[in-house]
Amino acid sequence: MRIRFVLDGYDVEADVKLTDTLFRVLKDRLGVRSVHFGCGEGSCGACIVLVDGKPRYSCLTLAASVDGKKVTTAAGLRVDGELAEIQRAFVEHNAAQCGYCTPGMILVAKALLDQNQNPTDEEIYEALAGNLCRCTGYVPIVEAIKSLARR
Amino acid sequence: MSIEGDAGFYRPKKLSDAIRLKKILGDKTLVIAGGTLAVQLLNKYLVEPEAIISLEDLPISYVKVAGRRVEIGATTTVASLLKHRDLPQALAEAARSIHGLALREAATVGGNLMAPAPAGDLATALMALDAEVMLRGSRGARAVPLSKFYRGALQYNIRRDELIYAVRVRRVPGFSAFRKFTAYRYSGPTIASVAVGLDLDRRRIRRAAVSVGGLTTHPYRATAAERVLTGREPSRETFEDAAQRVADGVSITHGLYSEAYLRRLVSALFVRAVEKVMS
Amino acid sequence: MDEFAILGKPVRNVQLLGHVTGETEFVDDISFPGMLWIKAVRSPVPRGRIKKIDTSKAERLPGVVKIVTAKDVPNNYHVNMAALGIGPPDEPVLPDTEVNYKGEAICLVVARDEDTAAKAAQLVDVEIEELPPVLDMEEALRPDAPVIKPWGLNAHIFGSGLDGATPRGGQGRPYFLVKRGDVDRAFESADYVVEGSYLVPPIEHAPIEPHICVVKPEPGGKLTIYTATQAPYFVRDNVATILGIPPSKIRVVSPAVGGGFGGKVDPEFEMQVAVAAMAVGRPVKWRWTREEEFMVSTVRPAVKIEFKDALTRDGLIIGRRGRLLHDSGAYTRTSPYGVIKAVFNLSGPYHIPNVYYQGYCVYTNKQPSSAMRGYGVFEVSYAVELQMERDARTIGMDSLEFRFKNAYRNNQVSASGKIIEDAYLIETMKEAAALASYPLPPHLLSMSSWG
Repeated sequence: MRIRFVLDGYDVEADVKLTDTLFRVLKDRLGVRSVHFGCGEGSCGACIVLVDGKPRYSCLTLAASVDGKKVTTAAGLRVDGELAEIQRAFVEHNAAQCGYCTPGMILVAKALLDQNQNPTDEEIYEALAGNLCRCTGYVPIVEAIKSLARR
Repeated sequence: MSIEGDAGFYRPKKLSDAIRLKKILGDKTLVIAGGTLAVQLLNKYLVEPEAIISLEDLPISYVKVAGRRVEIGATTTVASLLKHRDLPQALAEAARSIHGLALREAATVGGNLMAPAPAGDLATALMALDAEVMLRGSRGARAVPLSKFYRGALQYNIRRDELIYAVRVRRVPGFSAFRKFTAYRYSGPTIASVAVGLDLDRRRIRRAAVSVGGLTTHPYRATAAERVLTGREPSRETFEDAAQRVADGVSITHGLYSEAYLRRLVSALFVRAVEKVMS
Repeated sequence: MDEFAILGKPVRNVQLLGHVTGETEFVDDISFPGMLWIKAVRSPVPRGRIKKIDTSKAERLPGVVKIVTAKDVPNNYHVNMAALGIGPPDEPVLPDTEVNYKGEAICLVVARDEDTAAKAAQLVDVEIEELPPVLDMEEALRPDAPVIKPWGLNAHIFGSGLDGATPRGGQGRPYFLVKRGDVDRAFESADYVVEGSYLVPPIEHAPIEPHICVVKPEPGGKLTIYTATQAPYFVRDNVATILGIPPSKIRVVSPAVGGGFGGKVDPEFEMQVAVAAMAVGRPVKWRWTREEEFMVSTVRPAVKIEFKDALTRDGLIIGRRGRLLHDSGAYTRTSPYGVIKAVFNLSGPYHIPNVYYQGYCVYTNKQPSSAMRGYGVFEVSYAVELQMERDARTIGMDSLEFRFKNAYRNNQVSASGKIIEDAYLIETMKEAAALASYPLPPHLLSMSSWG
C-alpha cells in the first residue's frame, strides 16, 4: 500500500507492506540516517522518532499507521538551519560518544523538556529509561538536559 | 456497508466495525493497540498475519471519573492516563512506574491487561481495585471481573468476535497502593509487583483485595492474604501476618530469580504498599 | 598552561555535530542497488554432528537467490590472528560436519530482502545428531569429559608455536606456564598459607549497534567490505586468506562504529558475508539481530582463578601458586593470547619472588570468547586484589599497608624475568589517599618505589 506522510518537514511517499515497521521504511526504503536499529523490541530507543510530536519506537510502529501523520527525527530539529537548543546542549556537554543512541536520546530529551520545563533528576532518568547508552554512563546526557531547565 | 482496508490493513473508526472485522477476518489477523507487544512478534518473525486491525482510531481512549466510579477506554495510553489527577492511587502509581516517554505513548490499558509477565503492571493494580473488563462482541456487551479474566497463560475470557473496549472500577476503595521491584532503579522489567485495595476504618478492615504480578504469566489475587486481612483490625500485626501469605498457594512460573527470593520479595512489597495504613 | 592553544584546554569532539543531528554515517546506512540480504540458519544445539542440510524448500521461495554452505567457502577455516601466528585454525567459516555451539551459523540464505531471507531460513531443514556437550571448564578438563577438539584435549596446547609467544617445535603443554624461583621452598618456610578462588562470569559487550556488514564485489575480482570494526586489517587479512586472494584486492571501509568495547575486534562474520557476495556476484548485507548479538557474538571469557599464597609474619608474599582457567568457548580465536597476558599478570603490581602459574585455555561448547576492555588483565586484577585482601586479613595487617609492603620497587624482577623500571604503585596510592582525605601513617608515607 502507498503511504504519505511528512518527514522532517518534507512530504514523502512510500510503498509499504502490511507488516513493514516505520523503522524498516525509514531506514531501508528511504535511507534515513537519523534512526538506528538496536533491538527491534522497543528496549534500546535507538529507533525513536516523534509521531505527531509524541516519542514513539519506530521499530514498534507500523508504517501503515503513519499515513497522514507528521514524523520527526533528530535531523528535523534544526530551526532556520541552526541547531536546536537541545542539540547545542548535547554538544556542549559531550553527551555522546559513539553517537548511535543519540538521535533517539535527543528526541526524548526534547519531549521531556516540552512537557516539563524543570525536571528533577529522577524525572529525567524515568523519562530516559527507554533509551539505552553503552558509552557515556548517562551523566553528561542528564547534565545537558538540566542545563536547559527553566526555574 | 464495507469497511475500507488497504492491503489487509484496517483502521476502523467505529467499534462495531472493528468487531465485525475481527469476526470476518478470522484467525490470521493481528489486532494492534499500541503495538508494544504485537509488533515485536512481527519483528521476530513469530507471526505472519494476513490482516492487521489497528484500534488507534476507535473512540475508546478516555478516562471517566464520577465519584468513586472509574471507566477507562482500552486504547488509553499510559501517557494519557498520567494527565489525570483523579485516578485511584494504585493505578496512578502503576502508571507512574512505567518508565520511558516512548513506552508511555504506546502502552495502552487494554494491551496491558493482556500482556504476559513481566509486563502487566496496570493489570496488577486494576485487579486490586476489583476492576471489570468491558467486552463487546457481535452478541452485545458483557463485563468480566478481571480476577476471572485469565483462564491460563495467554488464555483470556474473550470470545472470537469480542474486543476489550474499556475497564471499569465500580467503587474505588478507600485506600489503594501499588509497589513494584525492577532490576534497575529506573528501568528494566518488573521482577514482582503487589497492589492492595482496602476499605477500612480505625477498628476494622472491611474489605481487602491483594494482587500480585510478575510471579505468574498474569497477575493473581492473593486470597490467602485477603482472608487474613478481612474483618481484622488494621494493626501492624495483621499486616505482617498477611504479608506472609501473599505468595501462598501459587505455582511460580516466571522470573529469573529463585522461588525463595520471589516469595520474600512480594512479602516485602506488600509491607511497603500498606506502610501508610500501618502507621 | 595558558600559552598553549590545545594542551590543558577542552577540545570538542567534532563527531558530535553529526551525532546530534543523526547525520553520522554508520554501516546500516550503506546500501547499493540490487543489494541482497543474509539470514543465517543456526545450530539449535550446543554440540552435534550435521547429518543433513535440506535447502530445497527454502530455495523454492520466490526471492531467494542462493543458500551458501561450507562447499562455497574456498578455504574453510576462520583464521582470526593467523598473521600473528596464533592458531590452530580449528574453526570453520561454515561447518560441514559438526557444530560446536548453540547459534553457530550452518548456512546462509541470501535473498532479495530481510523478510524473505528470514522466512527461507525457517524453511531450511537441518538434521543434527546431538552429542554430549561440555558446558563447564572444570568438567571440560576432567579425563572422562567428552572431547571436542581433534587433538584429544579440551585445552589449547601451548608451546607448539601457535600462540605467538613460544617457539615452534617446543614441547607442548596444555597450559601456559610462568615460573620463577622455588615455590615449594617458599611454602615450606611460610608463616601463613592463604587460598582463594575467584570466578568472573562471561560478559556481553552489548553495543547498541549490533554487527552489521555490507560486501560489494568490484571489477577484477576485488571486494569492498563495509563493516563496523575495530580492526580493519584483521578483516582484510582474514577474508583474503579465506577467499584465497591477495589482500591488495580487498578494501575495508569502517564508518563510525556504534560501540565496540572489544566486541568488534574479531572478524566474526565479514568472511561469511564476503563468501556470499562472491558467490552471488552482487552486494550483500547482513544485519544481526539483538538475539544474535547476545547469543553468537563474542563475549569476554569466563575466567576462574585460584591462588595459594605463602606469607611471612611481617606481611610479605614470598610465594604464589596460581591456576587460571579461561573459557575460550568452542573455538580458539584470540584466547591463547588472552591467557598469556593473564598469566603474566597473576602477580599483579606486587613483587612475588617465587611463583608457579598455570593458565589453561579451555574449550567448551559455548559461543567463542574474545577481547573486551583490558583483555586478559581485568579478571586477573579483580582476583589479585581480592586475594590481597584475604592475605592481609589473615595476617591481621591493614590492607593498604599490605599493598605498600608488597608493591614492586624499581630494579626488582617480575615473574617473567623483566627488571622493573617504571614502578609507581606506591606513589599512586599516596596520591589517591590524599585525594580521598585518607590519612596515611608516616611509615607508609616514607615508602617509595625507588627503594
